[in-house]
Amino acid sequence: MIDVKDLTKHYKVHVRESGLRAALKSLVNRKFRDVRAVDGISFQIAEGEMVGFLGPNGAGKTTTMKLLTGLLHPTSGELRVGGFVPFKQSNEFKRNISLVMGQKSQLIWDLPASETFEVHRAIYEIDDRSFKKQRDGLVELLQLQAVIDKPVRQLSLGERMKCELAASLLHQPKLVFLDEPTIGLDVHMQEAVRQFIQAYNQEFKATILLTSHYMTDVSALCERVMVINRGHLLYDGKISELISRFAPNKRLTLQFAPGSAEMQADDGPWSTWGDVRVVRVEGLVVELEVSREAMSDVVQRVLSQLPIQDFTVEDPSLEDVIGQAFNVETSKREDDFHFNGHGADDGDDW
Amino acid sequence: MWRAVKKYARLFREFIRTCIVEEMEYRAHFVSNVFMSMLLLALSVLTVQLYFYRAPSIGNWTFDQVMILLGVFQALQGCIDFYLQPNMNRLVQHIRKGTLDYILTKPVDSMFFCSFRHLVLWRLVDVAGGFALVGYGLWHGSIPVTVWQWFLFVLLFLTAVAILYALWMAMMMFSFWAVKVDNLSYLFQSLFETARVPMSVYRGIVLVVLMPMACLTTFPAAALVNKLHSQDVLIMLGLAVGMLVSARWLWNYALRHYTSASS
Amino acid sequence: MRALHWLWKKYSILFTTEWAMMLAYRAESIIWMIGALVQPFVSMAIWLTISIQAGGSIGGYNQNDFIVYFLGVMVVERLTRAWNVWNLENDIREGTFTPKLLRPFNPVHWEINQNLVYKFFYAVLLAPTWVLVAWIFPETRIQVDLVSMGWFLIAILISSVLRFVICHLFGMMSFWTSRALSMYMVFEMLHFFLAGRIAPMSLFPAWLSEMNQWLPFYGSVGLPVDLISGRLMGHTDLIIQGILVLTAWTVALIGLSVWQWRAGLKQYGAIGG
Repeated sequence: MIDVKDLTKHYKVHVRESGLRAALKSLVNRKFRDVRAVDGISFQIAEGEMVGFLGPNGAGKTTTMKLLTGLLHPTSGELRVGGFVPFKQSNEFKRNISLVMGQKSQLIWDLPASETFEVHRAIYEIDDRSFKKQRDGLVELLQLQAVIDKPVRQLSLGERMKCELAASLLHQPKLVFLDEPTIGLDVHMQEAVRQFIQAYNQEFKATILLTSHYMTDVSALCERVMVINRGHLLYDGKISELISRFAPNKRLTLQFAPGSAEMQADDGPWSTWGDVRVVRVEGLVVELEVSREAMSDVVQRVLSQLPIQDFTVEDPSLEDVIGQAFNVETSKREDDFHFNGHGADDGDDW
Repeated sequence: MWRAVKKYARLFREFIRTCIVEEMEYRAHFVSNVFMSMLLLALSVLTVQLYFYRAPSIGNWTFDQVMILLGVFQALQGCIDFYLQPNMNRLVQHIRKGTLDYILTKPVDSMFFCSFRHLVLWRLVDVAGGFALVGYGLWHGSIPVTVWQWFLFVLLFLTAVAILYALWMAMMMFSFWAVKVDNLSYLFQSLFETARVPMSVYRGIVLVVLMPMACLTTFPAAALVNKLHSQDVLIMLGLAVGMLVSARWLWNYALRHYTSASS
Repeated sequence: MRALHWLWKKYSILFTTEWAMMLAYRAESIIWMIGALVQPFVSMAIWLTISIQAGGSIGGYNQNDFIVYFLGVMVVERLTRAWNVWNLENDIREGTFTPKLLRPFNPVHWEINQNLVYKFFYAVLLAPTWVLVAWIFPETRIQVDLVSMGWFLIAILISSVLRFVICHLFGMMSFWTSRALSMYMVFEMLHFFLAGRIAPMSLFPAWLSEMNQWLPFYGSVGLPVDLISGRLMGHTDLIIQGILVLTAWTVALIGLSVWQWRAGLKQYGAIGG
């Protein structure tokens, strides 16, 4: 479905300095900064796969998505999506894809979502039968019956997001790009959206690419993840392997009952339990890092041996895992951002 | 080809439909909007009457002829407010917020979508008012018009609409370069005000500068009142074709270099 | 005395703040100014054409007079104009007016300072420009004595207050209606027609210019222009009459706006913003 080889996208960014003198100077001698938003990425995605894109802001996820949807021209490299070259922006290609951005709405604000559906029906030239079938199917699946006839501005964020999804799937795209589809939603809604995406993927065998800040989104939906930072593909594979590779430990927080003796970091009973590391001791709260394999054993010991009031076991946050990943693999790439000055004849500052 | 025409006609109809539904939300304003339009038209007629209070003609145009010209101006202004002005502001928004990406990933011509998605339908009242004024001028001045003149009038009016469209699109393109286009459209509107009066009012360097604006109203009106030279038609047609082609080229150029707001 | 001291302090701070904000939008400000010069320019072109057709002069104005007159209109228009109706309407509609009301300082002071800042900016731009143009083109020079100049400044000042108050009156209408801007537009159209912005008063039909002497329109633009162009030199009676009418309208409308402000706040409180 998607075939990417040595894909790069470099921007030239006009460096603006403050002050009148600098502004005048930049008229004659503009300084540009090369930003390598995507720097030599290769991967393949098969039909029907669900793949998650991970990485911090500005890592190149969005740029990669934009390259795949044809919004940007690649600087170099090969790129085929569903047999098409995206940046040629042919209508056939566009009929096969759909883009949903959680932070940007395409619904008509003052009107019910059903009106946007009608506009999309005209844009994608959907014939009446399949339009009706697809619309009713989506409304059913997303439980939008009570929602689609209310003006969009009156909807909650979650309802709106569901309508966005429905509107962008009316033409049954084979390839769906979801950019932060659950951003800002409450836990309930996130779950609903996730279940829908899963169901849609299974029913229509659509290929789905997803970026999200929420680890749970990605881990619930995607078997395969790609971690991108500074334009490089750091990891491409199973999510379980990512976690065990970069974050083999879970975090165990113990809250001791009031009145118990204050704990000392070194001489707690855990010092003899093996695969356990103390992160923090603060009064009656102790945080431990425990490897996945040892966890159940440790929890049993805690429950039977220690006077605790409460305890929690947490997966490391996505930020932690990614942070781990970067510390491991990116410290050597500091010199990727370099400055060069160009004369004014170098033209425009896109 | 035929299929594309049908598709875009259908899409245009869909735009009109959504705009009607949208405007129904604000139907209370309709009456006062129309009232305002009428008042504005009446006042511009009064202004012309004031000029003619002191003079039998202005730059060889009689009162009735100037009425016709004012009607053309009003109708063109109505067209600007009907589809150019509303879409221009939307494009700026699309670029700032990054929602242009949605339009670009749809199987539809983005220039078409960005030009006609939003229509302010009640502005067609202005267009109608303008043509009514043209009719009044013809009737009041008992000006005879041949079929050929009517043809030229319609042709030149459509040409003027096309030129305005191209000019406006060229301005819109600046929003890709992060210039505040709202101000450009204000400047354009102000300059267009100079087309309220016959071109013969301007002289020298001023005429050269204002020519493109002034001919938009002067030439169509001149067709009806028999003041048109054949080279005027050619100039207008050439201008329209050239500008439409370059607007299209500029649009594609801007898109090629478009990088979305969030990157 | 203390209150005055604090007012002065507040004003100097407001003025510098608004000045900085205006500078951030200086390109826009210049575009707005250029746009506003187009209208008088069109009128000038028309009257020049008419006066040439009439053999050089019409209604006591020759071509030179028309040029000076409409240059005057351009300057006076910019120096007396008010824009606060847009801010007020927007604030009240969007609900951003409430926080401004909570401060122990009438929001109108912000508007006054913003107005002053823009006028100062336009004055700084336009006055030297006119001097430069007059140096190159003798047609645009004015012959005016110091007395007229003084009257001109007084007229500009009162007219500024008047037009500001009128804008304020219409802006406050937003407490009651969502069509305040449209209503102001109708007024602005009348002003455009009657204030001398399309033609000197003496070119209007006699009954209209007669009536106009008692309305607030002529005084706000036509009178200052007539003063700066030297038309009213030696007509002290006309000057004093014009200034008195202008002042009377200003005082009356300030009174009205004070009453409206109180009623408006009550209304705003009643509907809960």
